[in-house]
Amino acid sequence: MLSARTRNSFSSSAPSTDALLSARLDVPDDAGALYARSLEEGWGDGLPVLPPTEDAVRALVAATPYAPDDLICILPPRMGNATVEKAAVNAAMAGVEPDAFPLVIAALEAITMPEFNLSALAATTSSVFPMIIVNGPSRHRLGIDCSHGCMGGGGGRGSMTIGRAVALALRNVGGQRVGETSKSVFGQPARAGGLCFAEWEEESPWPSLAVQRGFATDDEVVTVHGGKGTHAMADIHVDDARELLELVAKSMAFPLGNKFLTPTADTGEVVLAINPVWAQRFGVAFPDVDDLRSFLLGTAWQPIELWPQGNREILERQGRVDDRGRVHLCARPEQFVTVVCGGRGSLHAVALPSWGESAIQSVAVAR
Amino acid sequence: MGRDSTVTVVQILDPRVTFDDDEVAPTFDVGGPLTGVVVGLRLDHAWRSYIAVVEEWQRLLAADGAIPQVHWTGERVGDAGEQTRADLDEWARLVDCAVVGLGN
Repeated sequence: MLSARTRNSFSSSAPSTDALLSARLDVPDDAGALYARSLEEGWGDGLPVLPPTEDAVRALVAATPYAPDDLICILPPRMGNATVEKAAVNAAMAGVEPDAFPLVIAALEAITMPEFNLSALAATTSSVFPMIIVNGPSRHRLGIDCSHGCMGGGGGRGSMTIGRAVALALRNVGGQRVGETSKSVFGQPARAGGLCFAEWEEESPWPSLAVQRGFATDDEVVTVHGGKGTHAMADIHVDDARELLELVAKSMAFPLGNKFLTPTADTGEVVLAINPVWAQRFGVAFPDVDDLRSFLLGTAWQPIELWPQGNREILERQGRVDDRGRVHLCARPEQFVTVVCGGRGSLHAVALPSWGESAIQSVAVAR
Repeated sequence: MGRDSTVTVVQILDPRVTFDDDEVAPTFDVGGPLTGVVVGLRLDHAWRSYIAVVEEWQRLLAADGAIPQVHWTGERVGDAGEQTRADLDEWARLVDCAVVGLGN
């Protein structure tokens, strides 16, 4: 939508307007009163919001090559039109800086690609939510956490506002409401504050995630993943990199993960966030990241005996059990998506488990 | 003396969109007896309890003369996802009305 429109946005066939079309609301010039009203009227997410004034919204729109009425995407579950203006209003509430707003737009484009399956994600009983991974030169400038405390607690403005802006847009433009249009039994922190982090590319022994996905080194790229939460792992005892990675693989293949609910192992990816110290160790054992992924594919499985009889029958019927009685988490190496990030404290890794019926998408940021 | 009670007001932009069905959410009406009406019922392997619901609806619909057409949804991504969407389009073409199921 937007990419097609953008190319034509200055042509006579696609006239655009600078007018901001959103309804105006008069609110007391008081932070507490604004917060209270956002809760009363349901357009807040439970956290305090900044006032999306016309000046604030115009500053965000001006940081893009688009007009306010350019359509970014249509957001499920209620199929609301996410124009650049509406995205900017929600981004202003979240505190997004103008320089970071193009990343919000890219994220919205990415989550509405058909293979991401947002209609299902937005309505499911699962806790799954779009998680945002950033590559490229603006990571540090925008305060997108890639080192200590990334994924929550790092406190970078980009991390804390970009994902939240996307979550607010899903609420206010997509009409996602827990208990109504969204049947999520449990939520996760990403559903409120968003989850947005960057790859610490400088610390990686491998090409960045964006480069692995076909972009250039200096491209600014937003990648979205339908993740169910953050699954933390830790080890202080294993010296051998292969043995450690096998434990990581086994931890990712936990038996009640969604990847064992899907009819095949062929859908969905698992993101593995590797701290820089472990990344260096793995990089020595696996100089080519494709080899590391193949190793994960070969070791991320559980024996069929682990499941009760009823589950076994279903897994067998679905052809999920190989001739050695193993049920593999994934069917292809590329379903293991590695990102180097986190502090240098070693000993930790995080998996972002897949919802299953959703494919990771990447979009280059347009400025 | 009391303090100045004047409250400064700031104007903000509404972050919400207006949905077409905010004011009207019509219930679908077949407009006549169910005899001969092809009623689609969409199912998914993940919805185990809903499978039982659809089985009951199939029985009741058939008792009223309708022709239930159950469709099992396949995978959502990759080549299989393309096929799923094509199959859904075809199923939608063949039914008079449908219960499309849960949003999962």
